[in-house]
Amino acid sequence: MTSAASSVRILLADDHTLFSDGLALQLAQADPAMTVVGQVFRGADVLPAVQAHTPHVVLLDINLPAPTGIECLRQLSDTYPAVKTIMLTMYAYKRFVDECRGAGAAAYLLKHVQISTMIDTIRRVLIGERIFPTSPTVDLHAADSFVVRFKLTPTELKVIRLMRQGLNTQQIGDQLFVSFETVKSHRKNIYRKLTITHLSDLIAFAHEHGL
Amino acid sequence: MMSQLFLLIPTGRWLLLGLLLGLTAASGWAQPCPLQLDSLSSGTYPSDCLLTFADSTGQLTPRQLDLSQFKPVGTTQPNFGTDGLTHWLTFTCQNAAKQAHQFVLEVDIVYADEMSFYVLDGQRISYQIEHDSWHVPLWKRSIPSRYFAFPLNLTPGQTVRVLLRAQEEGGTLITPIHIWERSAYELYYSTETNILILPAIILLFLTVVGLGVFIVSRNLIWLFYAVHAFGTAVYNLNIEGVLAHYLPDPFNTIKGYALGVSLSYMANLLFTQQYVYKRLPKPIGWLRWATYGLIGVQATWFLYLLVMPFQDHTADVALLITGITAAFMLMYLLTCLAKGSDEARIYLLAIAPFLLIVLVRVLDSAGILETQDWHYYLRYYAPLFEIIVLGIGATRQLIHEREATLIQLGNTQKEVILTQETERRRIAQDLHDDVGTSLLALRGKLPPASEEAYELINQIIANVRTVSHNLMPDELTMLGLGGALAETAERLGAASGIRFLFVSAGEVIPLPQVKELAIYRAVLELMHNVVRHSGATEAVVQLVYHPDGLNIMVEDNGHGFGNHKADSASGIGLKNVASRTEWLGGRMAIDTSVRGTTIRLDVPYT
Repeated sequence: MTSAASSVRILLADDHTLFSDGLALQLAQADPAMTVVGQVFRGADVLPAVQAHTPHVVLLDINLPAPTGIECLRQLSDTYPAVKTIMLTMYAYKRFVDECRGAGAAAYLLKHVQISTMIDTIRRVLIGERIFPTSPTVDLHAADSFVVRFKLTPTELKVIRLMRQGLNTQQIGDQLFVSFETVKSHRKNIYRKLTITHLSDLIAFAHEHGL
Repeated sequence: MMSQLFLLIPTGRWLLLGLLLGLTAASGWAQPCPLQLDSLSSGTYPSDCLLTFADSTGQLTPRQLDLSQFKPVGTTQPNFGTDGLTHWLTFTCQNAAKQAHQFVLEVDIVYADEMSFYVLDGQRISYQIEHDSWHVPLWKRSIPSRYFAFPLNLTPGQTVRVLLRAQEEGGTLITPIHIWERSAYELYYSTETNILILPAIILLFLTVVGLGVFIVSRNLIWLFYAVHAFGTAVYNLNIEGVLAHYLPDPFNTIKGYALGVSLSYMANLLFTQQYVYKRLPKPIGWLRWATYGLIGVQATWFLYLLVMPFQDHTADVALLITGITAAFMLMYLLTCLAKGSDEARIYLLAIAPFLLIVLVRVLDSAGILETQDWHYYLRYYAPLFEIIVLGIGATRQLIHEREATLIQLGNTQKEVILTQETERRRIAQDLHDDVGTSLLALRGKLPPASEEAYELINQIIANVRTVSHNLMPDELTMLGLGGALAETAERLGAASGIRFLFVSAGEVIPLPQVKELAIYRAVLELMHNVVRHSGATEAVVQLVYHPDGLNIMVEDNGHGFGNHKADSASGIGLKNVASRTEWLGGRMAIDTSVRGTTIRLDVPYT
């Protein structure tokens, strides 16, 4: 492994040539320690290039053509776990962030960040930090087992309880301050989610789960 | 239309038709004069007794007449032509019954300038009505009839001579004479009136309806329809004397029978052009020009009638033009039928009663069938039937056209939206991927010390991203509808502090991208509404894929719309949602109360 003071070997993987060139130039200008050892433009070329150039860090675009950046990341994590992979992308989707985190990326960076931020991130991942723009998804509803297990919403649970109490559609509507049709919609959705067709099945479900 | 060939005939007499078909109306048998009047319920009587005399001076009184100058006419429907002279008719009759009887002498004509009626018992004038005409109001007539009708009251066995003086300067003088028992005449007259009035009222009603539809639809076919109905109504009312007796000057003197026919024919030809010709699979050039030619002829004739006084040849020319037009119409329709025109089929159905009349007349003249009363009354109802059926046909056509236009409009709209969205997506993609990334590359090439340039280019990069995102939310293409909504729920939840729950249930059925985009934009609007206006702490956004459609619900536990929903920003947003939902062929429903708001969208897959 290298120390912070010595040269950092970097591999750029981005299908946008102009961007890749610009980035290489910027990195070299901003910090002489940054050495771009190679540039690849297709997913398929990433692994061979890592083999050939032995970089410390791979700046990997998510949007690479076949295989995609995330697939490349998985291969890299499996084959070269010591190589730090920094995902570089235009998309800030939480789903992507979470996916990359799970696949073993060292960091997730948006392409439009300042070059100084980029260098800072490179330095920090080299000392073992993992840097992501958002914290891991803490599912606010994770505690609610019905959401997780059956995708049932709080309103739907209320509807099930009221149905179990023997209220008819109109009465349920009155209780929940919604229209007859909306209650029917909820009921239809509940049946769909539980893949049941009869009220008896619903009562059985409610009974089983203490609703 | 064709039926007006018949309708040109003075009411109920079939006289011109008789001439046209080579029939003779007269049928007499030898019976001694005076006429033996007994039970006369049908208005007919033998003609042998009737004598006429033309008074060229026009000054003679009944007493100055020389009976030896009278000649037998051999018909009960003498036609004196257009000589403009004063004509006298006379016959003797005897009440053959053993009790007193009231009879009516009816001259079934409306238009003679005037008539006078004398009853001579021996040398004494026992009864007289002088200078009777349509100028005499009905209530001042001895018998309140629109036709000339005179009372003939006879004691048992009484024999009288009846003298009738008739004059017509502006037209043909025809004097179809009937003798009725008074009660039989009154029944006939009221039946005739009722049977006439009903179709005339319906025709006038259809005129108003046609005009109304024309004003609303701006479709000329309805104007022609209305004029057609109106012309027919005018004709009907005119030949039965209604216009003459009830309309003020100068409308009471118009030649409604001829003008009405001509007008309705013109309108009818134009109507047919719109109704039948326009829908022909292939235009038939000569038919079109022939139609316009005939319209020209009818128009000229119409103006001629309007301006010129009645002349010798007027009735003949009218008959000729009507006959030609009617024959042309029949040929027109058969030609179009041969080309497979549905409209021509409906049209022929419409004139079926008229064709039936023709058939009956032909059979009657051949002695195979005898004309019944209903054949005779059919002459009012045949054109009515025709106009009603054509009205239904044209309405049907209008509805079909509307539907077709709407479908086409819908398709065009969909295509426009599709093209627009495809184009937007392409531009967005280019902006984001190419321009955006190139700008980043450019930033890389800037000299290190140019702070301002960096700031500027960063600003440009941010703007490009915003524009591109507005054009096409890239998360939708990258993540799909559910993924994009989940992402948005996450983001909005983090930004607003509202606990957003996103649920997608059922087997995901991917929709065409334009539809997903419309749904996405709609749900996004609803979610933004929750954030901006609801005051909620929790919200649920869910997509449930059912086999028959996608159910979308956005619920929140906020304070509802309250009573300011219409003018608020959320109202405008909801309108956008509603129009998107409508475009998707879906339904939108809103429940709002102080306990929160639930908005449901049901969107079909196809």
